[in-house]
Amino acid sequence: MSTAGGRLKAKRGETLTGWAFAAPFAVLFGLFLVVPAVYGLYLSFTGETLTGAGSGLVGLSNYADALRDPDMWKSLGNTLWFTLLSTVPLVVLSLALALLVNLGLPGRWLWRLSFFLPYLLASTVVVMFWSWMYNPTLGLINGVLAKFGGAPVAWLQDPKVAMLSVVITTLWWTIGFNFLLYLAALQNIPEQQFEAAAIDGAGKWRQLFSIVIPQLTPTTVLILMLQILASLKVFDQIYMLTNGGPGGKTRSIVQYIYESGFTGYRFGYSSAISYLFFALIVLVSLAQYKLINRRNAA
Amino acid sequence: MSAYTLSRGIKRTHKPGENPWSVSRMAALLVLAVLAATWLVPFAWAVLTSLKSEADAGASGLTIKPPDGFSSTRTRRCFRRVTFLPGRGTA
Repeated sequence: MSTAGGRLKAKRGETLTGWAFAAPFAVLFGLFLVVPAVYGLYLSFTGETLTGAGSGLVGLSNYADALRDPDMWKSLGNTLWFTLLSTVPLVVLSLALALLVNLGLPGRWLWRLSFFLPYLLASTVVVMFWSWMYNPTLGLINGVLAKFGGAPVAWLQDPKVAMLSVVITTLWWTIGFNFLLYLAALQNIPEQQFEAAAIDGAGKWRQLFSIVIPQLTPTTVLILMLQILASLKVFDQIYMLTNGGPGGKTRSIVQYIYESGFTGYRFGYSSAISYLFFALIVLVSLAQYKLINRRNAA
Repeated sequence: MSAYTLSRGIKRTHKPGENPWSVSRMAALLVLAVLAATWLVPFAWAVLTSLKSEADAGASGLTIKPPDGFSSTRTRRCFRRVTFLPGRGTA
């Protein structure tokens, strides 16, 4: 009995030590993540505004208002459009760049530096570079177009091209991260596989489609997941480049949440849209998770 | 696919028996060079603009070299105005 009691005591001591080690993280996690999230959820059921007028519980009316709000749907549509426009080239082009750099051509440090350098910049610096380049009268892009006889384009003011301009900026800025992930994955493919394939008579293209691309699938899935989530949460570059304009054509859902809360001072309504958007992100993540699991099981 | 190390520690960038100057490698190098240059253009443009006077930077039209020549006035002013190290030079 005494041995069993001793074991129990030792186990309890171990558990307490475990809790003591986890406590600093748990306290900070609770304080800075759980409490604000729960408070946000509570706010979404209230009519909370900056003035405090009508701040009582309003039930689900904020959610109902949000689902009826055409501006919310428009912003969500813009966000999904941006996600589609940016994710495809950010995956395909980064793979192409990594494949080219991995060919072992001279000056590899220069190629790696060129594509990764923009990723090190702050969003404000990126926006300053590109708003200067997109400037209709002083900008480099229109200057080059004019040299070749092209008409000037209002890159950030024309509703037809504004989103494309934001996508180009995002592509330039963030491709370095995906490129680096692909390059690391490429360098992990054993050299013997290429040698064996070459002995079997496989050319470069056959090796690419039968060895490289299949071995890169886990990296592609990871990049796709990260990219879709990052694109759905886009805010800074759009806010600083176009401020959501022209005519709300580039306004993302995060910007709409920000404006509802901090310009319109409707904290309750803004929280409700945040939670609707959160639900969408959870759904997208779950769908991706299911797809990956199904692929792994197959 | 990766760089190969020769016996004296010198790296070569092609496989043994592979022609380093083949047309496909040269084409890939050219594509890579064009893409890298494209990626570096915004940096170059920002540096060039920082070396122009206010009037030249605000002039319309594409000019690489400004009529009055490059000037480091704005860069020097930036270093004078911004405190990069605590206790050394203030606004």
